[in-house]
Amino acid sequence: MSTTNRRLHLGLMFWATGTHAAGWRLPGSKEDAAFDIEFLQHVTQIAERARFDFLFLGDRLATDPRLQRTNPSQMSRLEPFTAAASLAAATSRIGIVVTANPTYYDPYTVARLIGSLDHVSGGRASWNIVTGADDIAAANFSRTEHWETQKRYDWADEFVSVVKALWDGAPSEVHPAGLPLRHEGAHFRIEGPLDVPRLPQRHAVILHAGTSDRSRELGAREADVIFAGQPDLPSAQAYYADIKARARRHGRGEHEIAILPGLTPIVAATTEEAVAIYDRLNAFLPLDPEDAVGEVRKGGLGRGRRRNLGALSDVLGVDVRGNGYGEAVAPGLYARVSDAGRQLIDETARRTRRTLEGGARRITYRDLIDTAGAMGAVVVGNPEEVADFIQSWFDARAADGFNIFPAYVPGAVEAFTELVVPVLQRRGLFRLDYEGPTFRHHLGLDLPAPRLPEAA
Amino acid sequence: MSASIDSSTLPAPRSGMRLAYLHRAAEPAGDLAARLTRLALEVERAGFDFLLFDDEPKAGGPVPAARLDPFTAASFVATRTRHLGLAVTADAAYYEPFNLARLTASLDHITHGRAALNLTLDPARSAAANFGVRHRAAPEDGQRHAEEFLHIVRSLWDSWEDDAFIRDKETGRFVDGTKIHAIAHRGEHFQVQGPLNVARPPQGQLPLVHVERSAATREWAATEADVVIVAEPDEAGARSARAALRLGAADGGRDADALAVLARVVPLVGTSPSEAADLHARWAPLLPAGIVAAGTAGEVADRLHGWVEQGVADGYAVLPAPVAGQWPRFAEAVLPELARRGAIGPAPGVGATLRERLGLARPANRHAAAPTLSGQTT
Repeated sequence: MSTTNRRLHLGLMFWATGTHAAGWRLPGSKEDAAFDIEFLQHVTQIAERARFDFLFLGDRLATDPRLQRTNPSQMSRLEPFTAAASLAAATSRIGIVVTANPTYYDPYTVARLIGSLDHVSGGRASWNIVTGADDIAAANFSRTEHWETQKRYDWADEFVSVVKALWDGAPSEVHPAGLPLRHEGAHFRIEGPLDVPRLPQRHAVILHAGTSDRSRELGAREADVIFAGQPDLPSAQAYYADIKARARRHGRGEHEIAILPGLTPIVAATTEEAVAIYDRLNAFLPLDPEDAVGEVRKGGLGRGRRRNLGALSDVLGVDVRGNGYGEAVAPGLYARVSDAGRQLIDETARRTRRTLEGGARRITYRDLIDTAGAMGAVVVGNPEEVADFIQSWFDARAADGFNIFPAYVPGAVEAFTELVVPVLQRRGLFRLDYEGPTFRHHLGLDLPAPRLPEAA
Repeated sequence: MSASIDSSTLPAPRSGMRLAYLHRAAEPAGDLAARLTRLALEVERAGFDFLLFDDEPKAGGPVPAARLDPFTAASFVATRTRHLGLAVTADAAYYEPFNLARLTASLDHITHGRAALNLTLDPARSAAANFGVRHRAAPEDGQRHAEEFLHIVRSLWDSWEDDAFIRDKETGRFVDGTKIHAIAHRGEHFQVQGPLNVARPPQGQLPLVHVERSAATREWAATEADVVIVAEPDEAGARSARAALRLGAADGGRDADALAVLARVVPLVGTSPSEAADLHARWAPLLPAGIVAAGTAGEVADRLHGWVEQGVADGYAVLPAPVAGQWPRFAEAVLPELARRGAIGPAPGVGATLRERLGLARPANRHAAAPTLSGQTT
């Protein structure tokens, strides 16, 4: 297949305090943006002016005050469906992605919420299917336990097919009353038809993320966009090849499924300025006491690596406790650490432009702790350097584009759209204007063939 | 179980009668978003207190449904309107309380305090066939189920105290964990731990609207609702429904004047008495349920004004007759006439919440004095 037809896709992840835990503390960042709908509209409009494919609204179904040190914007935020409808009114082209967990919703409700969003947005709605990693969410939904993976995916598989079938039978010009569904499955009995008219996109765009086998299968079969999380090129290439191969087995073309890893770009006019922002953000993050061991539990909402020399020693495979945080790492350490340790040192050098031997600019233990705490794909640099990174992953078939994580808002959104997008456009990688009015147009997707017969 | 009231914040309500526009979404397809926007702007300009998106999550029946989910519709038109209240309908049987609490609290943030909730208790469960989930039994005791449901939603709305956010850039402290409350609800139908992951709504508690389908829910509505829309077919019925509701409110320890009872009216406005009579003769059998007020603009205004003065209702939920030209006549002839007589007060300025507009105080947070259940601030 020719690569000339491939087009780069860009999404923008919205976290009101920035995706970096301390993004809100930078001067110029808005610390009270979580419930400020006008601010969310403003950020979405910036992304739309830059011709982004979509704005991404994530979701969780539980909270805990302990998240304030690691994920402050996930502690409390606008519910995504209501936020999305407001964004639809404030924009005209950009796709709008809403996250909803089928484990805790009804198919009919999701079909009409997403369907309604597709109508008010003129065909720009998308559903990001997550099955939930937060085990404490069950306690908010009268469940005694968080379902195990197999059960969540059995449920999700049927849920997604019911939602798509409800969309297929929605009232249309041919069938003004809609077509009944009469679904009788293992989990659901749904009569139908949907009471929302046929969607402008017929089916809203489907997003999915995940690494388990069941998740990859669901995504390869049902999703139009896969949101990936691989931190480095080789693992991203392997994931990309696997998803495309699975999609082929489901009879889908290579171009019918776009794989977009998350990427945190820290960009400024010069490399030095970008590194200074990176350092400044990390300097805000507190270190854990050295006697704290084991993973950090964020109140049932995931785990994190401790930020201390003990946890760093675990990664390096060498005991580095007792060193000063600001102390330069001895050059001889490189030969003694594990493979993961060498990757960590290389990644730190790539981000900070500091080295083990570099005279005045040497890597410190604190630098390694900072890298270990944020091992997603991060690129720090000037606009050309960030564009090079994006192009290298795109050309190497590790990505069809990226879901951009702005570390701080609105600053990182402004920097990326003003500095990097024009470079990508100049290189012919990214669109100069939208291909059409709907999200499907941006992705180059045709309207799906209905799964139900047209005849009543 | 009405919440305690911080009376120092009691605003001056809008004077005159209360007005709601009852939107029954069953229309021909087409550009639903554009039509909704136009409707909301017209309803706002005409001086209504709120637009109610009625809802029943099912298709079928005599008119093909072309409906949008009410949360989507309300949030979308909020961006295009300035001060109109927006009431969404949700059936307790088809939502998880945690999800409904999030949707409504967020809508209140997005509308800057203009949202209201119409919680449906539909004993017929007419849409149940669209919500068949095999591991979950349908509630048989609809009323008790809905009462527990509402209790949870109200409790979740109060999860975050108003000053729970610190957001100190210097120290990095973002929230005060002692002001965020789990609800730890263990009830007959639901177990919900909380806290909600949405900050307290601007109105504290959204106004609760209740659209009566029968008198069976009246006792409950008298103690819980802020606005009750009664379905009586004539003014005598409306008057006695209002009296019963006020009595129930007083019995429950509430100020009866804080409960607004709206009669459902279907205006039929003629340019002359004879045209009005013709309209009535021709259309009466096809009109939606409600008190039909037929006459010239002046006569309809007389009647609406008089009924409020006679204690029939505190205002009206208007269902325009589905007859070409009727809605513009009501909006452009009847309402200005009522305003001229002082029967409708001037609309409050931009920035007023729906509670303020309705003369309802912002309730104190029910958890504020309680010991913290999620106090860690690590």
